[in-house]
Amino acid sequence: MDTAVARTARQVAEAALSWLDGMRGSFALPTDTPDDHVLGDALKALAELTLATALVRREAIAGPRSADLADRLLDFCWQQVGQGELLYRLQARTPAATYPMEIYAPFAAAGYRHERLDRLAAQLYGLRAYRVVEHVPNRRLALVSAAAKIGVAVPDDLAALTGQTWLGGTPEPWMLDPSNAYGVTHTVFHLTDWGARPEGLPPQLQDYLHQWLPAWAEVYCETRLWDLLLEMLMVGTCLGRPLFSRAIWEQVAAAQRADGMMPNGMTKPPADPHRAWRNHHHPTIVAVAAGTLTLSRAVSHAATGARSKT
Amino acid sequence: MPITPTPGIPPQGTVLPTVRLLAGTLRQALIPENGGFRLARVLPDGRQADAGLAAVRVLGADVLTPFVVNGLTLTAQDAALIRTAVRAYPAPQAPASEVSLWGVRDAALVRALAASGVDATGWEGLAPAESPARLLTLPWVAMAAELVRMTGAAPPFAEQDVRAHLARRHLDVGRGLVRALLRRDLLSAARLARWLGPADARLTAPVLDYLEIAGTDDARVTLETAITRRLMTGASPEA
Repeated sequence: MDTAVARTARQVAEAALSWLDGMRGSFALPTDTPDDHVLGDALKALAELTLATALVRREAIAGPRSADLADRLLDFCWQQVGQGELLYRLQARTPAATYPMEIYAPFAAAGYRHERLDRLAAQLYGLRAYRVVEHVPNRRLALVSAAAKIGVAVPDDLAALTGQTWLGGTPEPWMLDPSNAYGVTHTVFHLTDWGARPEGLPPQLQDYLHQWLPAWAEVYCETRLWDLLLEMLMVGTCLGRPLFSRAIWEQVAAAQRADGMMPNGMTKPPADPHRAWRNHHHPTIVAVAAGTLTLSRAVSHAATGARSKT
Repeated sequence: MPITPTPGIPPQGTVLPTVRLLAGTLRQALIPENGGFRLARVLPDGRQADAGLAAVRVLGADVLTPFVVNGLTLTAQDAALIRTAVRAYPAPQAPASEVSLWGVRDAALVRALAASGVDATGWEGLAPAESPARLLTLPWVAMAAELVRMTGAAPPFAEQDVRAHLARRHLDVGRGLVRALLRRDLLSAARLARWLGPADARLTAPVLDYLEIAGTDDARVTLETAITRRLMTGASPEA
């Protein structure tokens, strides 16, 4: 095991989780607002916090304090969505929308269930309308992944959907741009269920990422787009033969603020953490997820005796 | 206040334009239909002469490309001009990294001269011959940076053992090439594409097509791509 990578990833994740816990009030949804007035950004932030804390619980590799913080934050998120009731109401009111079920998916996988939303999801995922949602291809994979987490089998042709993504086309690697890069990372996340099933990523895409991910990560380390870089580090952990980069983790750790906040690298964070939250909660959440998956894969990979480094 | 020219020092700001001028001329010389080529005819004289000699040193073995690749005859006058350039701008004697780099570059120059029928043994100003083998063991980012710096030692002037060593590191050269393109560093990309050449045509062929269009504003890029195109397909650059 690359103990330096594991140690740095753990420290970054623990500090980031601690900052998020201190900022939980900023994630709270308004309580006196009609459902359709709840802002998308507020729901998105809560959904991301749910995803990261659910990953901490799933991987079960965090120390006692971080594990406890993650559990309490996940409970907090579940309470914010009314134990699923808000998501149910949003889904029932706008059945063509896909986001309520996507937000619900990590809750469901973690054991937080809402019985009527489960029934509604099973019905909606079976509609012809869900076979033709006009999302970009990697977002279509998100729908399939969410359905699987909720426990609904969908008849989508996963190989065909994968082939329509940027990554699935194994394009010239120098044609990557930030937009496509986010598409690549999420294609990997959805196909592998955030690293739980590396075998979900076809072998030729694993080979392609082994070839080019180190070059991309090197470039985006220079740009200091920390959330994208952290997502690339996560992609490395989702491969059958995981890729770890000690040098990049050290740069991530150096960029992280003393209080645990991970800056976005584009705008200067204000001193007031509540104002800083607006633009910097996202990379901090990604730091929790990336650190957790890196620590987990480093430990489990060491246990299997295999090893691969960038 | 007017700047007084210093003998042996090119006027400020004249070297890079002269390098580009020479690179563009060398590219044209790769077109067989353009006939003979003489370095002495294309380098500036008068106050610009020093810049011309400096440009010869900057481009290194590449100034011999028309002779080695197209089989043109290197005249005694051109050989003497190159020797004058080497003497006027000798390889640095410190720091060690620069000495090593110039050792690789000058070894390539000596090989190119030998291929053109000139024995450069003992020329004043040449760095002691150095093999790039040590540099080829560096991690990929550092190795790619070194390959960019020793461009004159690239194919067709690369040693056989260097080619054999690089054959085991094609992926790393390719990563350097991709990194250079994503950083919009077209000159580095063109140089790395030349090192990689046909070894990974799936990567280099579209890169070469792209650089031949997007790199036309820099004659150094077009010289690199013209050499690579010739090596990969035998095609001459367009006039």
